[in-house]
Amino acid sequence: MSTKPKPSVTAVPTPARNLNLNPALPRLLISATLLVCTLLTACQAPSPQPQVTTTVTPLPDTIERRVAELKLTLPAPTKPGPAATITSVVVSGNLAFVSGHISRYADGKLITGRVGEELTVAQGKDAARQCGLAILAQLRQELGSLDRVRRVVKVLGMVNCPPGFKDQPQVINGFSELMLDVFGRERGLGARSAVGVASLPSNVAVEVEAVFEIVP
Amino acid sequence: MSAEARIAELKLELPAAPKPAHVYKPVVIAGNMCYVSGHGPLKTDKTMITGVVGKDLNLEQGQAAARQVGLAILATVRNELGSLDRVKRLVKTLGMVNTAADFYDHPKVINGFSELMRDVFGDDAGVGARSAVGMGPLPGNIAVEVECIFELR
Repeated sequence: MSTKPKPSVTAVPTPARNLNLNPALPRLLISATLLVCTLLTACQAPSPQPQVTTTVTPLPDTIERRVAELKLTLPAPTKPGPAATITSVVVSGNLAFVSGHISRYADGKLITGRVGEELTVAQGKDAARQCGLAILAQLRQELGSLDRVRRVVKVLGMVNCPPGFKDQPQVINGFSELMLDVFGRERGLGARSAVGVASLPSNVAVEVEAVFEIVP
Repeated sequence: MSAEARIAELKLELPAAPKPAHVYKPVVIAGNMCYVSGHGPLKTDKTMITGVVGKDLNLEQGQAAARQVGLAILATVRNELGSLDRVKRLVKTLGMVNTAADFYDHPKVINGFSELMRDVFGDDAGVGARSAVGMGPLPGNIAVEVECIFELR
């Protein structure tokens, strides 16, 4: 008489239904595993972002306070229309690229003329300062607060001037000194080119574009 | 729609990617940023569009020159990357127009470049920060020179 061999107690795994387990447990375990996998995937870094390393001290939120202290009047930021081919600021990683801003008074009226011809260096310097105020206004609109700006990285200052004019750096100092006032020496001093150009849109006196490092 | 598909759809004719004549590279990739050197309005017959806008060339001709610069830049970037689909977005443009002293419509001229970028890369990825300015003489008396920065995938 052949008998079925008794199954070894140690070898055969016990099916779940024979244990007092919650039948939903396998489904829960699968969900938990999927959730962990999703979180791990989300934590993986995407393609490397451009990083500008800086050794300045941690950022206190004083920039906005400084703007208030200096009683600066920032103009209303301009907004390109819907058919525009440009945008005023592009944020890429921790860098904010600001489009060229032309010199305007706070009421929006353009500051025109060639520096060293119709305008003096002092007037040109003031025009450059106005570009700075407009750029601060644009940055504040884009970022929500100027406290998100870590530092000025790179400036291109363009002065509408006749051939032979040499004082472009003094003119663009109007912009750069404003940056120093607002951001301080460590953060407000960036790389810079101050150049003369043959003409500018609408014959404005000065146009400035700049790159800032920001808190992403 | 991908950039390469748009180029095919628009039937754009890109010139051959220009070779550097002096001590520079046409394009440098740093991290995921693609810095493009200044390009001139290079045509498929390998000649450049020259002349002073506002004197030798009118606004429309200036815009056509700016658009041609865009085609040359697309050629260079495609040559470097293998495919323009690797471009995530146009970040920053510097458009320089060879202008007469009393010509002030630089933004309109450079729109020739910017509208091409918008057509190829879309309303969001194709529109970036920009400065459009007038310059004294440009190399070889070309009508327009543009340098720009793209972000890559």
